[in-house]
Amino acid sequence: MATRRDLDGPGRADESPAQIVQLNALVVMQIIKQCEELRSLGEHAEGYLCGLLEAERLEITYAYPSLRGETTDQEADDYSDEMNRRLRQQGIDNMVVGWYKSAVFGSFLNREVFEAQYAYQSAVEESVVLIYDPVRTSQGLLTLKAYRLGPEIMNIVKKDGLEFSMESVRQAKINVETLFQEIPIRIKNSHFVNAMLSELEVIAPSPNKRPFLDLSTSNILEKNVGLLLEGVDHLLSENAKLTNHQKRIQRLQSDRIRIVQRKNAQRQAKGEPLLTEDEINQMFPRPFPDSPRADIVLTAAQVSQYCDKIGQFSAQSLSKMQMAEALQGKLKDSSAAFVSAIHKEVQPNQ
Amino acid sequence: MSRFFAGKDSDTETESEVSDEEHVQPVAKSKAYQGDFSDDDEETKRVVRTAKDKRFEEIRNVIKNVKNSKKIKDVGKVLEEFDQLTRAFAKSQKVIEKEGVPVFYVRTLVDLEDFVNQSWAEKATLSKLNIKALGSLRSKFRKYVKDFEGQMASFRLNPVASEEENVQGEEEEEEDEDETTDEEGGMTTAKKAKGAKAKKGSDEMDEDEDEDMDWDTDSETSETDSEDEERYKNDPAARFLKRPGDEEKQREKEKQKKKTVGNRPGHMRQRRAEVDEEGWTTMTDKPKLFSKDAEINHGVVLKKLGEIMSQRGKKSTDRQEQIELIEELRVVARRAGLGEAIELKLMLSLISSIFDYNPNMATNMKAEVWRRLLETMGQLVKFLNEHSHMEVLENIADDEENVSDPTLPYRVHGLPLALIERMDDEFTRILQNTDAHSPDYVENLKNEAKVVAIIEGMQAYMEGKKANSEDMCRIYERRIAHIYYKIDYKFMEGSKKGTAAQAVAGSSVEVLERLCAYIYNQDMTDRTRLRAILMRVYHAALHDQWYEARDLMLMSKAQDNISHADPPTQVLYNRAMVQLGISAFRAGNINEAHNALMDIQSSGRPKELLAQGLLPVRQHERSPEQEKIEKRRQMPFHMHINLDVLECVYLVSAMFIEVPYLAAHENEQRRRIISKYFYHSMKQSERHALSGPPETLPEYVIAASKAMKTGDWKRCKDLILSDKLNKRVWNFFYEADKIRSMLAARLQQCSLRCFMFSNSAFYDAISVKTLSQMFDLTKEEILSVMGKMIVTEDLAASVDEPSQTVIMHRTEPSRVQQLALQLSDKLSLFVETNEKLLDMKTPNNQRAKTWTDRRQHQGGQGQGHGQAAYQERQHGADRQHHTYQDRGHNNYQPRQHNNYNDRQYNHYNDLSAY
Repeated sequence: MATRRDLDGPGRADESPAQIVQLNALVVMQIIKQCEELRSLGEHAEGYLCGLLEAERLEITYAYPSLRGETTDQEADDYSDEMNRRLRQQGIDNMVVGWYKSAVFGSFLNREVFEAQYAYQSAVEESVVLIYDPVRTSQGLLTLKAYRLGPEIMNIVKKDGLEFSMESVRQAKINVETLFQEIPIRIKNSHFVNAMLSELEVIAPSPNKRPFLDLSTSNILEKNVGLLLEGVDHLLSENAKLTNHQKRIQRLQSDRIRIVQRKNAQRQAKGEPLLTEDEINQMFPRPFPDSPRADIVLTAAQVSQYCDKIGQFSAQSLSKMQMAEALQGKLKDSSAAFVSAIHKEVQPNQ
Repeated sequence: MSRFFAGKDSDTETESEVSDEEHVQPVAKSKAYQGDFSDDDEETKRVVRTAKDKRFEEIRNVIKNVKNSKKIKDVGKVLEEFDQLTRAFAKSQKVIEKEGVPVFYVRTLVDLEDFVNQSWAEKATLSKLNIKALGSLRSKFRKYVKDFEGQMASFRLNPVASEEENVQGEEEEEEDEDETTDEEGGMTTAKKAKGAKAKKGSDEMDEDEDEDMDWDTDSETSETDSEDEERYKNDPAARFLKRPGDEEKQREKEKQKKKTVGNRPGHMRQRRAEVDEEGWTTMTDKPKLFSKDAEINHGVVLKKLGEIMSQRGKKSTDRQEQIELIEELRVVARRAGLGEAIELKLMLSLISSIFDYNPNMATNMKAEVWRRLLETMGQLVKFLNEHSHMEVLENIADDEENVSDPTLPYRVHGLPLALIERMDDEFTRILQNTDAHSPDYVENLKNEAKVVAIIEGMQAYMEGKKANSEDMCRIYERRIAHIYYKIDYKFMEGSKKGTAAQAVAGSSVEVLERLCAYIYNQDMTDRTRLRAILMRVYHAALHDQWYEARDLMLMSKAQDNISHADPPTQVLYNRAMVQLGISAFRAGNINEAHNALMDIQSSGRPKELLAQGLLPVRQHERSPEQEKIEKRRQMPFHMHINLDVLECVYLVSAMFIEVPYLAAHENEQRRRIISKYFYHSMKQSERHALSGPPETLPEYVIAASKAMKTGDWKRCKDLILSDKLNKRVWNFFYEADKIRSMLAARLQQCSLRCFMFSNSAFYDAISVKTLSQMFDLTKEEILSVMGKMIVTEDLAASVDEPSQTVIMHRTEPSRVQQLALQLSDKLSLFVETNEKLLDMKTPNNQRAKTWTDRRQHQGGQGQGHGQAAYQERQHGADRQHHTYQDRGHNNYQPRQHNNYNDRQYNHYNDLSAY
């Protein structure tokens, strides 16, 4: 599992409580199992993570799925309480330190996740969300990532609620990068498990036929670009809304200036003092609330996420292609190979 | 004056008045015989008078009313009438410029002023309403009177001197002849009125006026009394007979007249005297027009005519009777050999009477009357042509006419052109009001030959007379209007066989060309010229001279300002446009045809736009008056353009353009809609789960379009050239078979294109031979179509000459690429809106710089793609803009260069035209 970000990357805040997430193999297996079960039904898996905090490390040792279907909050709470009780009885870590969710192509940056994660993080500061991508995993790349809301965004939401305004976004200098922080993951097996794996290796050696040269570009790219389009569409509509908003504000502003000027002129004629700033503000209470920014920020983050994915994916595909070609030795000139690689990539049928 | 002597007790006041007047009197009337009938002054329509007389009389009438109201102290009424008076005065501004402000007007103003002042002084006695009116009258009056201060002051100073040149005398004179014995009553009322009034200064004159007025009304009543008699044929004479007793009076009058004559220019005097003399002799001789021994001469006839004409427009007049009378008079005059001028004059009067026969504008003449009108008109025109030395002009005043003196050129007042125009309009109305599918319509239509002959006769006459260009344009326009919508088959045959020049000779095209050329050169009103151009365009389009028609349309710049034209011209424009489109279609210029017809057809109400019928009224959309007007505007049925043809031609043109485009851009998200009407019909039929066999015309075309889209040209052809369409559309074309074969060839080619668009993806290569079998085209044709598609980059392929195959190059974008393209579109849009947003937030000057900087920067950094895409998009937008404009102006804009630009862009449009 490749984690792209260094431990001391720019997105990291120093005061962040946990620098690393350590997963038990069991947890990974549990998540994958539930996902595979649900995937055949076309549903996404969701569930709770249990574990404990240790210094700079968040250890996750157990996962169990949440209730499926329509449930009330009360039911969900009852369910998790019950689970926790039972886990405690069995001597398993029962502190909920986060949740997991399966999502394809990294399309998880939405309001729902944002709100849920906020709830978790405000309960337990260290909580993370594990995002599992079953599609990528089935292609041979285990894609499991841990995210957490950045401290700035937590502050804003604490202060302004979930519909935080543009002003606060600007003040807190939140951008796409700092909305969700990714936390490196380490999967650690107990010695017993390692021993078992070794033994399995001996008993049933895996057929060493990994389709590592499989490109399967078109589907994924297509899907990704499609999602990207959606995101951009959303941004566009938000943009239009903002433009309208801006226009209204401008109109009001000019009205306001005009009225103030008129009143001032009247006052001057009567010999009274001009309007003070306070009086003016009293006269014109702020007419429009700033449009909520949460959605825009989330969409922007999501779009950037997609872009990353596409970039990552294309880079991988390209390198695979180059590798294959180099191996075949047909094209000596690497630049020619590159060109043809691009050419091939866009025509996957051939 | 005389009437005072005739029947009045010697009231001293009046006496003095009379003596006053008598030496004030020297002004006489400007007209010889009019005075005899001036008793019914109010009959404004009666006799044609000079503008001056007419206007002044109008003013005088109002003045009378003012005086009446003044007398009864109805200030409200006075106010109302004062308004009327000023209005009448403003109306006659032209005359007044020439003549100066008439004294009687000034006098009225002075009187009014007095009245206002006086009333103001005794305001207390007035009623509330009157006080209110008085206030506004006073202020209005003061404002108005400022312009006349000088004249009024001089009038006040010397009322009598001002009276010297007075026209009032006329009035006086007019009246006195018609006085009957029942004057007394009038007098007494007048006196009563006098007693009621207390005024100073110019009161006397004023009073006198009042009296006049009273008598006037009196004589009016007497006149109506005697009307019955008049109808029984012994009218004027009888009336004259009644009063030979007043010899004295007449003599006096004559004296006065002679006095008057002294003031006149020389030649006028002569004639006047003569007429007068005769007039009076006949009177004393007591001739009866219809008695056997009557001496018939000009004066009598004219008088008689005047009598008859004076009945015009009155309710009680029997119009049929009038016609008969004039006819009779004509016979009498002819028998007496009174000369041509009288004959002509009678003819003109007769025609006017016939027109009068039907007072209702909306309905047409009865057949019988119409026949008579045509006959008389024919005679008139023939007569005019035979006697072209006579002057028949509109601006000859009645007193300048010469009908009796053969030594001088005859001059007759009359406007034959106007009569002809009226007849033509009447003809149209008759056709409008006839059921188009009844035999009556054909019967009526048969008269067109006569109408045209009359118009032609008039034209010949006017050409001979060298009438002024304005009138010539008018008659030419009428003539053209009767020609332009008819096909000259001789021309068509001729142009098929020989050269164009040969064909033109002697055809209607030539006639039209000549008449139009005159109008282009001479017409001063743009309207006539525009109409001439449009009719010529129509005619040329009808005769398959498409290029000429198009060029003419372009040169006329009609489409720029047609929206300002009057509705009939707009209708004509629409007609010309439609005909142009159909002509383009026949000439095989599908694209042009489509553009020309689009505006009319896609509006969904071609019927209304071509004035070929009213749409059913939706509620409150049209008032009855409006409907009447619109009904009057309708084209007669024989001039209609076949709407089925229009619709079908439009749809087929749209099919040729739109279907290949649809096939080419099947799976594009945003596509341009070329013809909305067609597109929607197509979509609608696609929505049906089950489509039955086509029934209506559009259904046929849509079904054919569907077949074409799949490349099934046989079915397409079967549908387009089916019996039904043949019967309803194609058979109406001249040389329908030619059109049909043209259509068939085009259908094949178009189907081939559609086939290639939608199916080329499934082939690696396809042999020309196969294609030629599939589409029943020769190899050369196949290759030419392929070649065009390859050149315009509609088809990514190449032709392999030796093996005679078309080899496809697969370049159609994959799904990802399509998505990527869309994405780039979206992104550039996004960037744009973002910039706009930023523009709003930041003050004006800074951001422009920073953003251009940034964009350049981006370009430099090798993100050229985004930029290129952006530009591309802009370009696309431009292109759309162009075509949009194009369509708005029907592609007949005179901006040729622009059209060429567009042509490059819209190759798919053009291709279909090849």
